[in-house]
Parts: sequence; C-alpha cells; structure tokens
Amino acid sequence: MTSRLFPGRPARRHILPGLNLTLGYAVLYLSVIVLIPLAALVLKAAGLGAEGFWAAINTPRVWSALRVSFLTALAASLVNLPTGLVIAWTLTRYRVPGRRVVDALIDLPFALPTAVAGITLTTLLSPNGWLGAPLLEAGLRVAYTPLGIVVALIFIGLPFVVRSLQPVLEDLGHEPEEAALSLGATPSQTFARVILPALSPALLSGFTLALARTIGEYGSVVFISGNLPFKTEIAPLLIVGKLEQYDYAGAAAVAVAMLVISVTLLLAANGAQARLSRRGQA
Amino acid sequence: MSIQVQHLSKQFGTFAALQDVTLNVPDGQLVALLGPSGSGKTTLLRVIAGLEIPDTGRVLLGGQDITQVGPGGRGIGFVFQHYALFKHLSVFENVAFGLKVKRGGQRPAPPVIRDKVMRLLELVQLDWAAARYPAQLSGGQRQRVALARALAVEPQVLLLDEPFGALDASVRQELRDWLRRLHDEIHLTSIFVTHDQAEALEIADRIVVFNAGQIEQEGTPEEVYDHPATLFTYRFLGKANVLDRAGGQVTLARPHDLHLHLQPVPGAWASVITRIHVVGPEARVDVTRSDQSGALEVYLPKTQLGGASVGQIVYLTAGRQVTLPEGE
Amino acid sequence: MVTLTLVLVGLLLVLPLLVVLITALRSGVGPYLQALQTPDTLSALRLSLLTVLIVVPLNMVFGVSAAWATAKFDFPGRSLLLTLIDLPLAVSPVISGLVYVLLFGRQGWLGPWLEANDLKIIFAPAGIVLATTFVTFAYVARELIPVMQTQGKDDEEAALTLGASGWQTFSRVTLPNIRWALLYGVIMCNARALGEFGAVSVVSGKIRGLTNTLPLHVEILYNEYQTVAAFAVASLLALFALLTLGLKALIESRTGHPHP
Ligand SMILES: Nc1ncnc2c1ncn2[C@@H]1O[C@H](COP(=O)(O)OP(=O)(O)O)[C@@H](O)[C@H]1O
Ligand SMILES: [Mg+2]
Repeated sequence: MTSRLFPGRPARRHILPGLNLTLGYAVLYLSVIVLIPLAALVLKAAGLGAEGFWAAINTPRVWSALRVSFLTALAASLVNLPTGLVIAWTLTRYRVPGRRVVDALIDLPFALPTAVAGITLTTLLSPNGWLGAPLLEAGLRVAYTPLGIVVALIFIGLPFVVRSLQPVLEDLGHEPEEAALSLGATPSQTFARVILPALSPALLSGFTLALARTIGEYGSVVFISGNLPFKTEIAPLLIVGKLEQYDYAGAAAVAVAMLVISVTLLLAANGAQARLSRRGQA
Repeated sequence: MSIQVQHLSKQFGTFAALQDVTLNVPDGQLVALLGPSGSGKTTLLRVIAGLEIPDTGRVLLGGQDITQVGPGGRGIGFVFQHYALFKHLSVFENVAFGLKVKRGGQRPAPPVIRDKVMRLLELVQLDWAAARYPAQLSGGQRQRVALARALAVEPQVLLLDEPFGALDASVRQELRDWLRRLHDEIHLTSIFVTHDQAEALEIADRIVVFNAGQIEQEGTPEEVYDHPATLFTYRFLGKANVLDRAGGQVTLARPHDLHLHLQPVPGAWASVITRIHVVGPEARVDVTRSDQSGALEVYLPKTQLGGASVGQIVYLTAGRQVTLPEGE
Repeated sequence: MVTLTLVLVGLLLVLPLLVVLITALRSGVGPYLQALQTPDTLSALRLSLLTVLIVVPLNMVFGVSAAWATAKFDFPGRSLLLTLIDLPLAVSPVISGLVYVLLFGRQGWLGPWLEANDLKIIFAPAGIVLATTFVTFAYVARELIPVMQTQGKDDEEAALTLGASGWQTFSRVTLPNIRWALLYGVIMCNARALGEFGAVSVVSGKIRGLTNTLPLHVEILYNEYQTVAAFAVASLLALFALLTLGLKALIESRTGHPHP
C-alpha cells in the first residue's frame, strides 16, 4: 500500500544516520565476545548427551557445591536487606557530617578487586585475625566455614541493596510517613504498613541483583572458604577444579547448570518485581 | 518561497497520522495549522522539514521537489515545541551552530559568524544574554533563542511547532505580536502549529484547520471563521450554540450573535436565564429555551444587561446563523 | 540509626581498608616499597594496565554504538538486544573465563587451528583481554542507554535541520549530552577490568612475569605466605579503588544525580 514515488531510489527509513553502522557493530561485537563463546559452552555441555549431562551434574559433590553457592548467596542477600535498609535510610534521612564520604564508600565493594577483598576478609577473620580471634574465643568460627563465605558475600552484595533503595527513599520523602502518623498509626505500624510496602519493589530488586552477583562470586570467596569439598566448596571453584583436571565437558555441564539457575532466578525476580511495582503505581 | 504538499500520507503502525494531505502555502505568508491535539499537525510539520519520511506524497519548495532531500539540505528552519536548545552550549554558540557546521568554503569566517549571531540576537532582543546558557533563561527567552538559531542559516521557510504552547499568558501575547512583526520584517514563508484558535485568528494570513490527519478547511481567518465548511471547524473556532436540528442539518450561532430582549419580539424564543457572570466588560448569560433543553450562551456588553437577573423570562433572537450538515 | 550505620559501615567497609594498609606496612616502609618494585610486580602492573587500555576503549565504542542504536531507533529485536547486553552481568566470572577456554583452549573448538598457526590465546595475554572484556562488557552500555533514551532525539534532529552532518551531530550534540554518563561508565569499567580475578584466573595459567595481572599476583603472593608483599600490591589496588570512588563522587556532584 505504500507506493513508492521513486522506484529507482531506495527509500530512506530513518532520518538520523548511523543505525546500520552502530547496530551492525553492536551485534557483531556482542556475538564475538558473548554469544559465540556462550554457545561454545552450551555446545560442549550438549556434547555429553542428556544422560552424560545428567551424570556429570548428578554427583553428590556437584549438588553440594551448587547448594553451598546458592544457600550462602541467599543468606548473604537476606542479611543485606535490613543492613542495606538501615544504611540507605541514614544516608537519605540524616544530614550528618561525613555523609558524602560514607555515601562514596558504599561502592567500595564494586571498586575493590575481589581478590583484595578476599585476602583482607580472610586476614581479618582468620583464627588469629583482629576479629577472628575474639570471635573464636566466643565460640564462633568464621574463616574456612560457610559463615565465612556468607560474610564475604555480604560485603560483595551490600552496595546493590543500598543503591536500589536510595532513590526510592529520596522520592518517598516524609509525607506518607507523616500522613500515617497523623492518622494515629504507631511508628511500627507506619513502618510495616506504609514504608515497607512502598520500598518492597526496590528491596526485591536490590535483593535480586545482590543474589545474581553473589551466586557466581569467586574471588572474594576462595580465600576465606577453605574450599573443603562437601562443606565449603562453591560451584565456581568446582568448575576451576574440573578444568585443572582437564574435564572440560564436566566443567561445561556445571557451568550450564549454574547459568540456568541464575538466569531463572533473574527472570522470576524480574516478573515479581514488575507485578509489585504495578501494584505500587495503582 | 512557496510550500506545496501533495497527497501526503503517513502511518505509524496501523495508525494513519496523515491521510492524503494536499496544501499550498503561497510565498511570504504566515499560515496557522490549527487542530486538536493528536490530529497530526506536528507530523505534517516534520514531514515538511524532512524529519519524517512520508509513506506517499511529495513536498515541494518553490516548485522544486525536495521529498528525497535530507533535513539539512532543504533550507528550512524548524523551531521545536520544546525548543531543543543545546544545553552544553551558550546562547551565542547555539545560534552560531548552524554556521559553524557548514563545510569547507561555505563556512563563514569567525568574525562574520560573530557579527551575524550578534545581529540575530539583537533581533530577538537577547544580545545581552549571549554568554548565558539555556538553563539560565526563561521559557520565552529560550523560545527566542531557538528562533534566532533557526534563522541563522537563512532559511526560506520557517516552521514552528506550538511556538507559544509552553508560555505564560502574558508572554504568549507579547511573543505572538512580535512573531507577526518579525515575519513581516524578514521575508519568509512560515507555518506555525497551534491548538489555540484565538492565536491562529489573530496573527495568521491563512488558517488550515486540521482534524484526524486530514485538512478540514483552509482559508483566511475571516473565511474560516465566518464561513466554516464543516461542523468540526465551526465548533473548533469558538463556542457554538445549537439552535435547531432538522433533516441532518444543524443551525448554529455564536454567543455574540444571540440577542436578549426583555419584551416579547416577533419570532423570538421565550427563555429563562439560568446564570449570569461578568467577565470584565462582557456579560455572559446562560439561558434555556422553553422549547429546548440545554443551555445556550449569550455574550453581550455588561452595560446592555439592563437589570436582567437569574430566573427571569427573556426573549431570544439570533443574528448571524449558520446551517451545516450534521456529523463531524 | 546513625550510630548503627556508622558501626556497619565501619565494620564492613572501613575496617577492611585499614587491614590492607596496616598489614602492608607491618614490616615498615622499606619492605613495602620493595615489594612494589619486584620485577614480577612490575610486569603484573604492566599487563594489568595493558589489559585496561585495550578493554576499556573496546567496551566504550561498543557501549556508544549499542546506545545509539537502541536509544535513538526502534527496530525489531530491540528488546532482545537489550536483554542480551545485560547477559554477561548474570554470568559467574569463572564461567566468563571458561567459555574462552572451551573456544580457544588446546581442546577447544578452535584450539587445533590456533596451534597449527602458532597462535596462543589461552594462557596468554589475549585470553586475559578477552575474559576481561566479557566481564566488563555491559558496563558502559548500561550507563549510556537509559541516559540517551531519556534525552530523546530532539537535539539531534535540531542539529540536522541546521545542516549538521551525521558525524557533526554525534560529536557536537550527542557526545556532550552523554559525557558524564560516558565518563562514569568508563570509570566503573576501568575499575572492574583492573580488578577482575575469577575470569582472568581461569584463562591466565598464572605464568609469572608473563600472564600475571595484579590481582593474580596478589593471590600468588598470598598463597606463598608473602603476606606483606601480597598486601603491598593489594594496597595499590585499593588505592585505585579509592580513586575510582572519588572520581565517581565528583561526577555525581557535578551532575547532581546518584547516576548521571
Ligand atoms: N513516532 C511516532 N510513532 C507512533 N505514533 C506517532 C509518532 N508520532 C506521532 N504519532 C501519533 O500520530 C498522531 C499525530 O501526532 P502529532 O502529529 O504529534 O499530533 P499533533 O501535533 O496534532 O498533536 C498521534 O496520535 C500520535 O500518537
Ligand atoms: Mg504536536
């Protein structure tokens, strides 16, 4: 139905130039750096066949490593919810001196190389470390236990929760809170019924981002975990171990299992978050 | 330079934003494109400017087909609804932009650019603000910078999208008069988009009434106001009182063309006053006819109110009336 | 509340920084400086900087391209592309390294061909660059896309009507509009590229003086119980991190946004 007036000339479809060039380059670069290598991974795992794949995954050691990775990431992300909320609350509500410095420091876990975080936390929490020694005396072993992994992941995940909450808290302002209080709600009622629901999409998104990042975390964990199979061996470490034994297909199988878990988690959480924020807007 | 638009159509997905639009704008005229929001005014302007590619149809400038020419090669100045000033450039740099991006030998020497920009800034009365940044200006001032910027490349044609839309009422009026004078001073052909009929009637040489992607009517302000071709045009150009409906025809009158009489008059409708309010020198009276439901609005000078009050029976006659086919 | 925050921030963020500094200087300034000047440390520093110098511009050009295409145009598959750009963020660093081993390693798909042509990617600097590129792939694009999207097309269209060419429009209008977001993305990309450990450790082979980056060097020193040396190098990386945070805060105060 669109009759062209100049059949000889190709019709321009866009006024702004550069779509073909930039899109072409972006897709090519994406393919070379990300898609083709990931396809190589999936193909390698697929080369095992369904049974071979299942056999590579379905060993107690693999299950244990996946469980450790998942549970420690979950625990750390849960701990980061209240922790991040307290910090974000203070940073948005109180104009205390030094606020800018604290605010900038929140991103330290983003900026600090994970290996540095790893050796530092290990030194701090090892049985003769500054914190490790007193904790051990109190009967709590941190380094070389799952708890150590959780601590490292709390460090890694913290900025995700704080940074998700901050803009929402800024937007929220004091009014809903004051309205609730003026209607006779107690402070705890106000928090539970007014503030928390308003924050729930941001909390969920911070939680998800932290979980996605920490579930595959390696550098900060390998030093503090002690790497005991069945106890503190995380899935990424298992992959490295398989690689060192030249078990490429096995490594690929575990990697694909991990990928499936993290992508599913992200998709599920994105869906839940979309529902929550729709409710928040209604 | 004259602008001709022939059989333009433009779809967005399945939505037809322009449907077979044909329009002639003679050289030197100031034309208002008047229509409700979403009727396709901006789209038409963007097609003329080369910012949107039509599905069918042609655009001619001074008789030359420019449908395939890019926006930079058309010699058209475009003033965006939200000005689109470059925030990182000063007022001076904004106005100089079109001159500085000229290639090779076409680019004027820096002193020439300077003089020209300063002259334009004087023209828009903003020479004092040359070093300022857009963020430091008011809406009306930004509008004038956008205008100066568009004029710097000496376009033959100026297109303005709702040039006064985002401004306060007083600034609007001032800028409106000023635009009319400017248009007459520098020889230009201009089209401006508006959804405000008063604005169109006041400064345009011609008005093009736009509705649902099509031209409803075109003519001088008098023609369009006094001889509306359709019910839509009649209603869009001002308050419409329905006097009669019969056989698919509607008879209408403007509030100024209705007259109130305190005593019965031959052929008058007996009516009751339901509301009176005075706006400055003018009285606006709502009446309901005894043979018709719904209020009619009558405007008359306050001094002619003659002590009429709400609830009073009056007699209504109509001066100018228009009968048009029903259905918009 | 404020006290609790200070305690949390102190324990979680400040204390680790102090540990790095104090452990590095435990034996005095002399050994500290010495550890920073060993040939292995210097070559690790060189490789890290080289990696950053390659990776950051690559991801920057990609980020600008992807943002231009997805923010200024609509085309079929656009939202799929946006999802795929974020994909590397959901991939464990170790897997980011593994994929290249499977592709370019001796047993990989292209391994035999590379060997036949005497090319080495895995256990060579090229692999380190690739793995780092993967991990920091989305860092610039993610900052630019939302910013360009909210800015719309008006400015570019205005430039075009004024006669600017495509390149002039981009360099004189678009680039200044996104400069802070671009700088921000580059800084974060830079920090992650410099500090990447997991992905790099899988592809590096950790050959001293050859394929060791600073974070890998920290690991080796630490595992050899050269604690002072390990923390001396770590302190260098921590300094880079603090510099990053400072620059980031500066940009945020310039733009008045937590993210520009
Ligand atoms: N780029 C676009 N994509 C999809 N729809 C559009 C686009 N531009 C305009 N439209 C639609 O075309 C119609 C006419 O728009 P417009 O020309 O801006 O109207 P006006 O300026 O008269 O308010 C509107 O319904 C608008 O939603
Ligand atoms: Mg419009």
